[in-house]
Amino acid sequence: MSPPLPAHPLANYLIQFLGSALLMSAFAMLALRRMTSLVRIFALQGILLTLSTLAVAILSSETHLLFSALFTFAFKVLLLPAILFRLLNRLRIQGEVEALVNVPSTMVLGLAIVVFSFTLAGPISELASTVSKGLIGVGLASLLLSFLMMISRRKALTQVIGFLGMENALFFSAINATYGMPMVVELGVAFDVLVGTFVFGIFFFQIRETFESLDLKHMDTTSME
Amino acid sequence: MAVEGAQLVLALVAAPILTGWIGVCRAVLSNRSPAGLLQPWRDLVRLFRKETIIPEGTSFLFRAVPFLVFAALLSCVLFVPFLVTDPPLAPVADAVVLVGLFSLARMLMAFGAMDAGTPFGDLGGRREMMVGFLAEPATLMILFTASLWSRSTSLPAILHSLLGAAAPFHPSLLFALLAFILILLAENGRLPIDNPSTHLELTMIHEAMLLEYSGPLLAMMEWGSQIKLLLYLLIGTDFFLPAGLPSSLSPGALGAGLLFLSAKLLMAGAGLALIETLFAKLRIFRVPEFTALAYLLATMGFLIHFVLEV
Amino acid sequence: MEESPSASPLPSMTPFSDPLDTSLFVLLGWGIAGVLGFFLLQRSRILLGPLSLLLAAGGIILASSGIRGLVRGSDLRQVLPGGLPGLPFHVRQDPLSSFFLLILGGAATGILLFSAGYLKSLPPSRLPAYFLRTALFLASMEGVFLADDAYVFMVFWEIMALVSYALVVTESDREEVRNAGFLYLLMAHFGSLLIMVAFFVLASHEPSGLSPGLSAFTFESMRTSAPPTGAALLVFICALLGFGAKAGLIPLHVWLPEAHPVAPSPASALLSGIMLKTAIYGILRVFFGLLGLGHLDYTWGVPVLLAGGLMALFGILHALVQSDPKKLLAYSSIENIGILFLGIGLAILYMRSGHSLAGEIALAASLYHAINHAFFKSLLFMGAGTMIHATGSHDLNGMGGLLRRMPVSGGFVLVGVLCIAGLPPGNGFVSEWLLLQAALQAGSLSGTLLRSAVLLGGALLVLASALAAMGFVKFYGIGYLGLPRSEGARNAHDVSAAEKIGMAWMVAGCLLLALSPVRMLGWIEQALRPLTGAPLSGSPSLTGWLWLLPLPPRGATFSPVILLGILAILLPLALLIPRLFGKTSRRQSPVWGCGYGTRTFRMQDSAGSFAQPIRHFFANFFLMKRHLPEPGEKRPTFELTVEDPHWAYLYRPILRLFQSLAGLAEKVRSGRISVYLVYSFGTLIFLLTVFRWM
Repeated sequence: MSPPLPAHPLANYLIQFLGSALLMSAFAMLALRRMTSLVRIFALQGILLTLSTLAVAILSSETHLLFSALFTFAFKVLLLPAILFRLLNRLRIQGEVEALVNVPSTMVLGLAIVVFSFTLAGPISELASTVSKGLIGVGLASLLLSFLMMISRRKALTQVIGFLGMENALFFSAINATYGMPMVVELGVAFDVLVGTFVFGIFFFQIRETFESLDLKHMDTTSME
Repeated sequence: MAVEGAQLVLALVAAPILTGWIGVCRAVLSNRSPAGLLQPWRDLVRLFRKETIIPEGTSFLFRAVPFLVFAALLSCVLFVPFLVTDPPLAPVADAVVLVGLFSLARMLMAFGAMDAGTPFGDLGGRREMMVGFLAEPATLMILFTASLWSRSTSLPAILHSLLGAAAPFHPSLLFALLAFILILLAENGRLPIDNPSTHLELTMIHEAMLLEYSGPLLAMMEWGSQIKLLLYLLIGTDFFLPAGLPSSLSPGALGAGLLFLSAKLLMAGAGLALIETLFAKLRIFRVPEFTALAYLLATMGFLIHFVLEV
Repeated sequence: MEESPSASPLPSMTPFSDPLDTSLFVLLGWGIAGVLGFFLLQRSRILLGPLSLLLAAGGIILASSGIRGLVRGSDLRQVLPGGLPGLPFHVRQDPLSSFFLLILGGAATGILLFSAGYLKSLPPSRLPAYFLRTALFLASMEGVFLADDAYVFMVFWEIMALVSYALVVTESDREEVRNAGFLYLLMAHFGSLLIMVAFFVLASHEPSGLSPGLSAFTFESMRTSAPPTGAALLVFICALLGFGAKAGLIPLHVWLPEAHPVAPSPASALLSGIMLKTAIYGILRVFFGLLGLGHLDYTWGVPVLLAGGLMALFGILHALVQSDPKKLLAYSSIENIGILFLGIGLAILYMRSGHSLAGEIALAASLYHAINHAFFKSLLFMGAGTMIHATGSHDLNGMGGLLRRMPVSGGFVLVGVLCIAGLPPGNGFVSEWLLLQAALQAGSLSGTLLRSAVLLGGALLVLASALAAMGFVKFYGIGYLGLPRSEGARNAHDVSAAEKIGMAWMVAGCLLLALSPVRMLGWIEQALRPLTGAPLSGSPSLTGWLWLLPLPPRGATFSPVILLGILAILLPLALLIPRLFGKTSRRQSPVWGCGYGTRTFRMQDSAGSFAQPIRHFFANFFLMKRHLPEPGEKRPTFELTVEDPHWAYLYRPILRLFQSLAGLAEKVRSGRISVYLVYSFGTLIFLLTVFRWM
């Protein structure tokens, strides 16, 4: 276990603030309909992660977290959004997200998930060190909200963004609960995500060539045939 | 008495100027030459000098509504702290009563619109109530979130607890702020929801309700709406930017407070104009989604408070 | 609850110094007047006015008895000889009863004054029976409030159910009326059964030897019963569902929107405004009086709270899509009863988790809303009656423009509409404000789930009240404003003096309730003290009559009187403003017709189109069938039916189940007597075997 952080109210507030902003961005993803806004929100999540990693790095004076922050910034704010935007352009995915469940219902469901996660995380939070108290619930809620977005949206690209959002939430929880995973693991995960995105991208082209659409329901019918 | 009088006069004078300021900002942002800060005032004076035309077949309610709405909205000015932290009449009405008074004004306006018996009036009344049925609960949830620190919905109590807080900004208020901005736009007929500069569009809401009003009656309605916008911004600054509000009645403190207040209002107005320039109007059926988002965000703020801040 | 028998004051000198005597006198008087009226009205209907006044006088006396009971905080009881041998009638007027007697007397007075004018239109053959039923209905409701043993309670409860059934089917020549009546009777019996179970369980857990034999069914002895948790839960559930069936608890509500609207309007007002409160009384009596706060668990509050919140939302959503004004009001009653349940749930939750002040405020708010609802809902049902009379239509789409033609009653209804929409400075706002203040204390509870439940309840309350505003904009905007939508509406005239007086009584009640909340809360506190065991700490006496301060010292404050004063000053100021800019002329002119020359009433929103956004957004709450016109159709039609989903998903399956069971039973039916005798013989042998060896 890591030693408890020195109490520093301002930094605490900052991290809590960033955590709520992350949760809010996960929630906003459920409500937004435009693809480009989704990617922008994803980039914003990257910025929030970078900042919170920096804050924890400075608080705990663990230098490897500084590198983490740098990597987060490079991957999640610059590289991945750039790839996603490029995909959007190349695939000519425009306009609106298609929802399987209507948006208000998804949002109400999202609220229920937040309540559920907070309740679930309640007893765990009691054990945690000062900084992460309460943030476990926030991380869990963000994760489940991203998952919900993956379930409730139809287009394949939204699923990728949902997947990336889940990874963001996990990363946030890891940073705050244990000051991050070992550097190797983090790097590995980061590259995994990157490669995953590439693979997804290639898949998209393949899928579109085969089905002339990126709608998941076409894949459903093939699997049944 | 002095404070109440000052609050009333200030609100009456400043509300059209604030609308003028937003107009100026919008014009500058979209490369037009602005009409000037005083344009709403000029419009009001012109309307007051015009003839009143009463549509045939309306009842007394049609004529009474503008004054009732105006009185209801003006009374709110007395309860919102903006000159000092504790206006003498603030205990009369807490935040919930304030929302109730806004709702009263909304309902009366819808009655006035429906009394004309025209398709546009009915359409406006129906849409206004449609915006309201989620915007009002969202407003209350925002107020509740802000009141969590003081455990009281009295505005001065909320203000004191926020001014005295150790933290610069509470995470729960982040949610409330976003929800508040959404509601501010929805409740005041601003752009993603309704276009304030339109006069005849099938998608209009506020203007559709006012379509049959003319002359002084229309002026009262317009002035009332301007006061409502001012009130929303004042409540917003109370909750999210309370710094600089004087708690004493000394002239120096009051003057400094007034300066702070003007700066905050100018900033908020410019921000509003920016939002309105950036966003396009939503389809009318997206409006409940928009307000539902605000409602749920405010509710999440409430939950976040218990998880992160207690 | 330990009140000594000596709690009753000095022996009464006159029959009216003792509230209980007064109440019993009214009970008897109503019964006699009803029978008298039945015979007199068969001869001449001129006597309708005086007879109605007589009943109304009873209402005033009863209300004053209730007030006296509350002011003194008296707890009086009597044992009346009567009933079966060894089973005398126990009656008691404690402050809780007094409060509900006040509701009954206060609201009934206005309704009776109104019916003196309204009933003139009833067919002469129906009038005597209707009058008798009304009087008996009032008397039986009073009996329910006064009962102090399960026997008297159930007797009056059943009389109330039967008489109200008779009131519902007053216009029994219409098929829908008979169907609604049958449904109502069915539900009423289902409810009574559960209530009896609750009483039996309570009685069976009394300390043994206390009161042997049948007298164990007095409420006095039930109060001492100490049921284990399981039994207490059973009582709780039975009482909730049993009384809930009467109150319109979802999903037992389906009879309410059918039965309330088909009765004549004054009867609808009695049913919705007052009878629903007997169920609330019953729940309070059983939960807090008989079972006792100590036997409740705080988690039981959560389902009550959430059921109340959902009821409020469901009720108002369905109210919004109705186009029959009385059906709209009936669904809105479900909403209001939902709000009462919400308050009761909050109270259980808070009180049993150690926050008694917040709990008491929630309960007080609930009672406050009960009396508010009695007044504005009765007023609105009267208004709906006048609308239907004036236009001859049961559909909002056949009304419109009535405010111009019926300015006085239209003005009264406007007050009712603003009050029921929960807007300041109306009375509905005061109770909802108090309830919200209680819900806002969620922070003092522990556990995210519990807080979220309270928060969700508060959020549902707020949502329902905002939707109520929209619903009543529809009610008033379509019914009273705009252009008349039918010939009947064009020729409408204002109502008779008696009807105006009745409505004015209700308006006065609403205003009094709105402007003197502190006095009212003082009385409610009296009514609740014996149940909760402690006074409201923010006792009104501490804050004066002007200020409402439920949670001292830093809690929110509200002063309806000053608010109204401010509005009364600002309104003339607003009227003066246009004068500052000089005098301008005023003329009438046709409205702008979008370039078309003609303007017809068909251009306005219909009742259905006004609710369209709601149907669209809350589609899951409705079962809609839409018929859209085909392209090229000669006579295109558009049809939309909206149904309560409970019919399709709950009641019809149950019905089908019963029918298939009946089909199975049909198989053993051969029609030969000897076979039936074999069945009986077989059953007898089987039972004897069971008793011997099991």
